[in-house]
Amino acid sequence: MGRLRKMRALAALAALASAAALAQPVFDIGTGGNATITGTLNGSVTVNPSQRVLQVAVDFGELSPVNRNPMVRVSIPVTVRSEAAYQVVAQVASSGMSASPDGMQLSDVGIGIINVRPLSAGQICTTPHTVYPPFNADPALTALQTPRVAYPGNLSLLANPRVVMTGPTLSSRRVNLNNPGANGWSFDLVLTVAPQFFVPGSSTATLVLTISQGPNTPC
Amino acid sequence: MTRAGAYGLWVVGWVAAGSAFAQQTTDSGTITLQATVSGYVDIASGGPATLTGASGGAITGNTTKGGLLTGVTINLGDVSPLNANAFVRTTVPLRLRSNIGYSLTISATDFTNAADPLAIQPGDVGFGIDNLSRADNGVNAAGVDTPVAACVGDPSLDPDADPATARWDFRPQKSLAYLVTPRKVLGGDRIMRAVPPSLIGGLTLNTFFAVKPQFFSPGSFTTQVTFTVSTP
Repeated sequence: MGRLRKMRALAALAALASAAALAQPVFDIGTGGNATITGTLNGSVTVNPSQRVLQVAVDFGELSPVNRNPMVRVSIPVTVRSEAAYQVVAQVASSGMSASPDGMQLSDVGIGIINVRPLSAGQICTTPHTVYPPFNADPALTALQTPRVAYPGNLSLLANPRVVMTGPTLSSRRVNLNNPGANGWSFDLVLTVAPQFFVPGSSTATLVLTISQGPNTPC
Repeated sequence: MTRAGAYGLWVVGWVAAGSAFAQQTTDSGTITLQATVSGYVDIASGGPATLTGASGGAITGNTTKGGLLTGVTINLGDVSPLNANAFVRTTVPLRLRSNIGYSLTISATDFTNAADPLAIQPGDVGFGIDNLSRADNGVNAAGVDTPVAACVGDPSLDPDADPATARWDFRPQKSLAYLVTPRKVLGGDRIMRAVPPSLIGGLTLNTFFAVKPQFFSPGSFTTQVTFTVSTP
């Protein structure tokens, strides 16, 4: 009898633990297909072929006036899925930019999130998804010449983690991590740089996008 | 015993259901960025070339600021005593740009009609540079430019360098004879700030070429002057 009571208690605990674990909504970020790069000289964009992960390497190429194009523009399709309201946080985790003010800086790299669109089986809510200014535009269209080319949305604004996008639940059913590419939403992450008379050298930066539970947003 | 066994199966069933939907309460992705900037210099017209004191001279292929210098031809006209002006002088403005220190080299090649010593010679064509300016928008105004001092100035404003000879003499480093081999005439610091190449400005300067009409042997001459900007 005592043994039976103990087993009942264990079973109840296990059930509660499992139920609690199931109650944690899933959040997932990945890639949504081929990225593109235009206006580059010797540049490239390489995307991890697994849609489960967002892992992209962008080489803007030559950014001195040897590159006669007015702008190098990269567009990366990103997929997001969630079982609850979400937020996307962006941060430049590390960077190796020029020490000279006339060298390339984080502020010389424009960034924007555009073309937010549902994937198949993406949850369609009446509440829209919100991309926060100044990141809610294609930087190629908002560039200013001061005379240095400047972007209202640029990487220098992401030196600390910053919420760039929020919205309601993205997925219409449970998120299956083994089945990416559907049951969520997609957007284009656009990065731009204008070739200029920068001080010679090379520059690097790592941009991290993180999706997690966001502010309560009804569907 | 039977009931206990049923509970055991139920628990296993819950655990199995939980593992089928892996938990992931946050997820991140990375985008690595890199870029390269190489050293860069360029040279272009600093504005339309001008010609003064000429008789029958003309400029063809003239261009505006930022235009290609290639194709500009300057006919100095008649430089016999039929031209009563003290000098025929042409001014060729240049615009230089760079994201690194630079050197300007000038050469005059393929001078024709040099066999006759009484005909016009490379030494009879004066040359000079002047009016350096970093005042344009987007230019690194703090940069320093160092011209070769002996090449500075409008040669038509200089006195006869050797009054002991009847022929007019330009200073040795202010004539095309000096440029028969390429000569560095100017060097300096990085010219441009971090601005796009569509900006029209740059380091501007004037180059001068002058001939004093004299009793040269009749004929004509041509030469090609080449301006080259490079990293030091």
